[in-house]
Amino acid sequence: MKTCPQKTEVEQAVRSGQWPLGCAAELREHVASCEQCAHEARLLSAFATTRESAMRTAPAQSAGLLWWRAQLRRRHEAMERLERPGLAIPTATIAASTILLIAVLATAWKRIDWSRLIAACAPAGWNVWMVTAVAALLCGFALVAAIVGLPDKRG
Amino acid sequence: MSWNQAILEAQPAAAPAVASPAMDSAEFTAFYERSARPLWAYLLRCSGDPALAEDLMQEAYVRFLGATQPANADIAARRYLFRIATNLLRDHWRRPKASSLEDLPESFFAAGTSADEMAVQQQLARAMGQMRPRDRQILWLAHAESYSHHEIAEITGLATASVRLLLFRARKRMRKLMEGSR
Repeated sequence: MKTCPQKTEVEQAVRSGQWPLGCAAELREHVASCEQCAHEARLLSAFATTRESAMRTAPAQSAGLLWWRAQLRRRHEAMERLERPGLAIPTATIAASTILLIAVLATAWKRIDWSRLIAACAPAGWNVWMVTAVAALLCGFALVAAIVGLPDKRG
Repeated sequence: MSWNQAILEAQPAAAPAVASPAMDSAEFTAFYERSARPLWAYLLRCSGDPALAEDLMQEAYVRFLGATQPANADIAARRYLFRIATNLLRDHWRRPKASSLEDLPESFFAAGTSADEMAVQQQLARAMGQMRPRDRQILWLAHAESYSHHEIAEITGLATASVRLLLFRARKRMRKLMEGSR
């Protein structure tokens, strides 16, 4: 359906509160004969009167009280942020421990007599690779456990 | 004693420093005077529940004050307030057992008006009651608040093209419903 060229004029008249008595007689005549504009005027008038009557029933709230509530909430949220344990310290501890462990192993690696150490500690028949695999697995478990155990970011 | 004084006296010594809000108390009071009644009308007509509308209105203002508000412009601040209210309505409708316009007597919509206005409002109320919540919001923002498509998109979080299409469909449906109820 083609839009009536006078629809905008009707819209403006209703929105400015001039409809129907304050606007030109030609526009009223046009609306009486144009179905599209008649609907537009009816719809916009209905919204305008509904809005007006709704605004008359607005509850009397105190802006100061809302301001006070907002201030309290801001303060409460700031307190919560302060009380929430941070992630920085546990993360830094895990990272430092891992680096230290790698450094110690790298330094001592060549000095250790692995075959004697394994023979003393590991079950009979295990070679260096099996022991390394088990050690790596245990380190992985420890790392996962540490990460899972970190405090939740959302508190 | 003003609310601000009361807050200053009530705050504990160890309270953390809080970033000051973009509006001071006097600015907020003036903004509230200008925006409260239209916001109330929007929440009331879209939710159909005065108690809920009152709760959401309070919450919208508290969140508005707690958020970083758009720089100075009053119109942008008002649009931002409507956006918060729209999100609160949406959150409410997502929860189960939301109250609906259909549950309310039509007289509720027409309180304190003349017979003609009452008839028009009842017609609108019947039609609005049969619309989807989102269509109700878009129709209200477009026709009662006179927001542009772009502004409605900003408030509802939809794309401007979607708003245009949804509004076109909602108007078409509204027309059918209003003509059917006459």
